[in-house]
Amino acid sequence: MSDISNIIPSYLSKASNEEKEIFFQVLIHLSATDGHTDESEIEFIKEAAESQGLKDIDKLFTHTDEAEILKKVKIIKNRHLALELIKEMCMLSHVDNLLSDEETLFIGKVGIALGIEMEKIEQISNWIIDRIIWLEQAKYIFEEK
Amino acid sequence: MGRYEACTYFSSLYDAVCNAFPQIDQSNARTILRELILAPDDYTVEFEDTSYDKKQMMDLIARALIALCIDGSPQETFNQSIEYVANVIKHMNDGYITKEDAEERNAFLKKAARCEFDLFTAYAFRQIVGEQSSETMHELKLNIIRLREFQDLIENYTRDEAEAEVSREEFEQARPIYKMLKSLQSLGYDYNFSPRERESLDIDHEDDADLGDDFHYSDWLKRIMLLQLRKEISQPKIEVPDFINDTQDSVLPSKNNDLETKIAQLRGTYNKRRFDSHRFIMLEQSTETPNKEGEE
Repeated sequence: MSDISNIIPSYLSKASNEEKEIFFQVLIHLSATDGHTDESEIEFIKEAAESQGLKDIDKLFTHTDEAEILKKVKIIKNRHLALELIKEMCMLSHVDNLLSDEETLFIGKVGIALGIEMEKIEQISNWIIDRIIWLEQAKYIFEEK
Repeated sequence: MGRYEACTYFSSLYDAVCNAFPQIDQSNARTILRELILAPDDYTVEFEDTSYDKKQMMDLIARALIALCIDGSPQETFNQSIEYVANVIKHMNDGYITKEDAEERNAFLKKAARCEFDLFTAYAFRQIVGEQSSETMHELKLNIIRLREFQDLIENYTRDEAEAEVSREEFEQARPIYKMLKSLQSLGYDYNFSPRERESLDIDHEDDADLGDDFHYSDWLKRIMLLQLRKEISQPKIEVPDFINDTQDSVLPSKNNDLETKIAQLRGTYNKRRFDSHRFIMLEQSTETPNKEGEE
């Protein structure tokens, strides 16, 4: 799902179908928290869900109640998978110009439901943003922009 | 110099005259407004074969001034304003002040100052006319006070700068203000800051002399009109063709041409996308306990 698989292994392929389903439902819900859903984000999530062998992908888009998702996400007990979900959430939410209140709240709540410390979520978010900044800086340094 | 004496937003009054009397152009609006404010009380203003007494005209212009500021219902306007202030406080303190953040801040301050002037002038007209409804006067006064408080909040808790880093300390100071504004929003139109809050935030305008019973609104209007006339005489309006300004802009050296500035801007833009646990906790508390502060 991301280009860091060479550094950090993905635990999603080893997860149960139930875990995979809630993993993607969280991402679908996050993509809609700021009031509008980006078609390219949805396509990306659909393709990723299909590549994980999930059937009936459209069904995932029908369960969007936040309380239900937060309850269901607790089935993810593998810490590595939980951290991977937080990472994907942070990556998905950075697409907009800023992290909205709704996105902040949802990421934090999912983190709590998964038993992930706030400090860890910050570390993951900072790591992603620092990496993007590093890549963007290259365009200025090498005078491509 | 007293409040409004720079006459920055005086042209708003000309707009209000034009809106109240659509058959009048800007040039005639100036003449009519001048007569309305400076002529003796029993004077009638005449145009288009119709005579209006001063009170009639003041009442109509006061309505037009209020209409310039109220977008939808007063409740909707209040909600929009408080949302705007909360966003300015948030964006100006979330780690880095981008050019867009500073523009958002300054646009609000400008709009609020103009609206405050419009509403205060409407309040002055209504005082002179002898508005019967105390409820109307109370609402106008409340809106003026709120606009003053909002401007103070932004001036006290944001920096008048762009493309600058914001310290953790500034963020920590702004956090409870944002939370308080969000709580206030959920409590609705009738709720206001408590006296203790106003004092501690240094935004208290409840006892402003120009909103007190002893204030002479007629004298204030005359003074402001004379100051505006002086300004118009000493600074005649010169139309500058757009291309002159464009040329001047284009010959100025670019301010953003060094690498460090570009990278700082880049960091500022992306810093807004970082997850912040303090912000999460604050948001969670404000959504779970909206009445907490009001209950104290």
